[in-house]
Amino acid sequence: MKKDKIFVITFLIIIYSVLAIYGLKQILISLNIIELNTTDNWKVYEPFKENNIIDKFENKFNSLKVSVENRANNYFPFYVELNELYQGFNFQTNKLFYNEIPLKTNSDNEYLFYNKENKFYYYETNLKDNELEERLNKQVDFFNELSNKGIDVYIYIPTRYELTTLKDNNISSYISEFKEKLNPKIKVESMKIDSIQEYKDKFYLTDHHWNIVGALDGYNSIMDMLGVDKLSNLNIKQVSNQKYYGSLAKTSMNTETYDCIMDVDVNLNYDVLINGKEKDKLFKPRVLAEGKTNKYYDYYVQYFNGQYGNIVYDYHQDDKENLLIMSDSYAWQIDYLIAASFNKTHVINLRYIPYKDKEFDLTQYIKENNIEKVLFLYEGGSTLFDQYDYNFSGRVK
Amino acid sequence: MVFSSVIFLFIFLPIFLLFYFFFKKRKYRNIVLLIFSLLFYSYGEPIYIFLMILSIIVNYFLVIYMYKNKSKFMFITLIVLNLGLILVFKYFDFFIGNINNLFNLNIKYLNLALPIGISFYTFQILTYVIDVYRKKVPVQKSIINLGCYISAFPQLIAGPIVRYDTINEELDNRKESWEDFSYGLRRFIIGLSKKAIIANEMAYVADSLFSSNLSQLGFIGTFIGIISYSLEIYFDFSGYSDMAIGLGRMLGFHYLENFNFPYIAKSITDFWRRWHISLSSFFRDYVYIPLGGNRCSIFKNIINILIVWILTGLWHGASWNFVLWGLYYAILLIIEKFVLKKVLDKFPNFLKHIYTIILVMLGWLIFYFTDLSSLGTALTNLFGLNGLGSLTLIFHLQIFKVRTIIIFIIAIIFSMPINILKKNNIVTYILLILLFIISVVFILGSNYNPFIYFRF
Repeated sequence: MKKDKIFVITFLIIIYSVLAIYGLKQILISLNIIELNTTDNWKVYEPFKENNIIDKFENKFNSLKVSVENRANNYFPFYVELNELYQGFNFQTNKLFYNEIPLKTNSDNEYLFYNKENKFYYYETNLKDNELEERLNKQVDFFNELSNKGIDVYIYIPTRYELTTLKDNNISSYISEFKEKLNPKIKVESMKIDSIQEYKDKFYLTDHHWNIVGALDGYNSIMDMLGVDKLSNLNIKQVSNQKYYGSLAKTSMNTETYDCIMDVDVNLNYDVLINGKEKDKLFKPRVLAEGKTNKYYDYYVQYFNGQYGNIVYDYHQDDKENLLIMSDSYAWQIDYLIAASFNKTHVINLRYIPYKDKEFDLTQYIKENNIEKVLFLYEGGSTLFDQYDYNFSGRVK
Repeated sequence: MVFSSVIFLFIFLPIFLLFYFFFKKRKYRNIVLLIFSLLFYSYGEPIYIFLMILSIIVNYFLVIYMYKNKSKFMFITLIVLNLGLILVFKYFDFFIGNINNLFNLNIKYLNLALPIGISFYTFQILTYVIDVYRKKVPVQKSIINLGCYISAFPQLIAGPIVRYDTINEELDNRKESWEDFSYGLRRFIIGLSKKAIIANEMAYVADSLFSSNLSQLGFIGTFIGIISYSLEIYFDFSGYSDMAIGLGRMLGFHYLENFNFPYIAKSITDFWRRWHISLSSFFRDYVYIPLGGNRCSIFKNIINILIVWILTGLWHGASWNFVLWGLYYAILLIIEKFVLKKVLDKFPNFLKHIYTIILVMLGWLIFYFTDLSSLGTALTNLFGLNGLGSLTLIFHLQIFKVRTIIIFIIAIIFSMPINILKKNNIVTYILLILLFIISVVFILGSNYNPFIYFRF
């Protein structure tokens, strides 16, 4: 009886302590006394189309549910530490079996891996062949439709590891298939990577982005493809010695290796509008906010800041053409460099406001802004497979 | 809401216990149980909760009418109503699909979402209706009590199917105690760890393999997949039953056992005495025996077995593979009963185990694949017709992880009757608390899926 009581009371102490901590954290956070270390695991509820009052109710209810579940997970005592322990155990034990270590899947259920021999992280799609094929055909149809409307389309494909032939089970063949299926009027180039060393030189070891070396390589190819002059003497500098654990290290909660942020050493003059409002050209700080306590702090986002739906670079070169760059975060490092060879360059990222939840008519935008050329600059997988659901095909009216 | 979630463990459960034990009177405790059960259900089914409330109200009044008037008509009406509900939500589109295919028609589907737990709570209601009609139990005069019986959150979503006569007395006259709470908590933690630690890991292996390119899996991949799935389904379902039985016991209810180490069975007949006992005994008592059971001609007996097992198959889902699965067991049970029994009795025990486990695993393969063409590929794999399979693919999926192997071994060991964690000593309690914490870490770990911007 006494042992039973002790057992039950211990259990009750645990669950009521956690409940009390939930309440306390909610109060302290709402009073701005403390803040969450990270909101990485904060899920977003995406409402479905409401056709009736029941749909409306379900959307409201589910949104509330996600909000409660977010708090239940993220306010859990020692949440990050417990997860680090869990991931750490997996990581260490998996080393016993594999050279290429699976870490976990990200929120798109892609497998994350660590190439132990060459010390870099990578991930690969878990879409099946038929799904990839279906998505590729949909993308091709979209680009061909644009071209058939008389729009001058240019596509550049940065080749992340799984899109190179360096990797076993790679999906590089889709690039040639994509090129073959495109209307010949469309100009398309892909990044060439011939060795692991070249890959490591051009991409972050811990992040899914290309680094400035890769981005400048892309810049040169893009400018040749666009048939315009490019800037010369672009020297690369390491911004600081701050260790940068990028998105892949962050997802796996692992610090096996690290990167440093690098940039080009250049100063250009232009005006910039963000979502229609004038901004100082230093909206990209190009100063690293070093020494953040969160070791997985995202220096890429902070340094190359580009989380805007619509950026217009105006170099006031009326004799030159206007360009539209449809892009994701891959463009952040070089968009203003590309823009230097044009009059006005519009950079659109469909993931951000004002396009995040809004209809966007690409053809109308091109007409309204006297755009002569359209460049698509996305992470390779997105261009080929629209794997992050930019809904390209729904953007052309 | 599921038991293996932080929201249940650290929000719902403590708040519920606080309210439940705050009141001393049985009536108020039952009201608290009913309110929280409805909240629990509405968390997953904000719309269908109204269907459940309606079901409680309708059955309450109509059963009283049936009881008072000894009305056979009302009895049949109630059976039709309750089965009609499950037929509409679960089987209507399946039926229409088959009609469309058979006669090349284009009848529109209802496309109704299946209310969670409908198969369980409908069967619970049926036991109440039938047992009252048979005068086996008195009619329930309190709608709160009937609501508690139908919707009690411990067994609402995934059983076990609690018969009304099991808890009729306890609805009014149960007694909560430290001993019962402690026993219930022990069962709950064991069930939670079965689900969070073992079943989820085995599910990862089985799903990784079976959702990959099946034709490349060959014998080895399919074999590993089906062993993992066999373990997953056992630990998942028996874990849930443990949690349900445990939560019930904390509140003073004594639900009957639903599993009795089915993988140590020595025959298929024995397996079904140990697996999902509440379902097989329901079909035995409410379908098989009323049909005449085995007190009839051999031919009629065989027909009865076939009916019961096709229904058992369909109960699990509206798909042909479940019908096939039910039929598979019907045939095995008929063969065992009329042909193999005497031969099997002469086998040594280990051969009986091997015979049973192979057939059960084959059954799970039929159960897993709702798509018959995939099932065909998996079966040809298992019989070695597609070769040993691609080890590259199996290694690429990286299912052989230290954690997986450790859990696999634990799963095999705990499929057998082991007395660890049954003793009433302090070491056992410390182990149970540790097991609870590890389960929570696993639950948090599997939830940790950072929404990071890198998709943009």
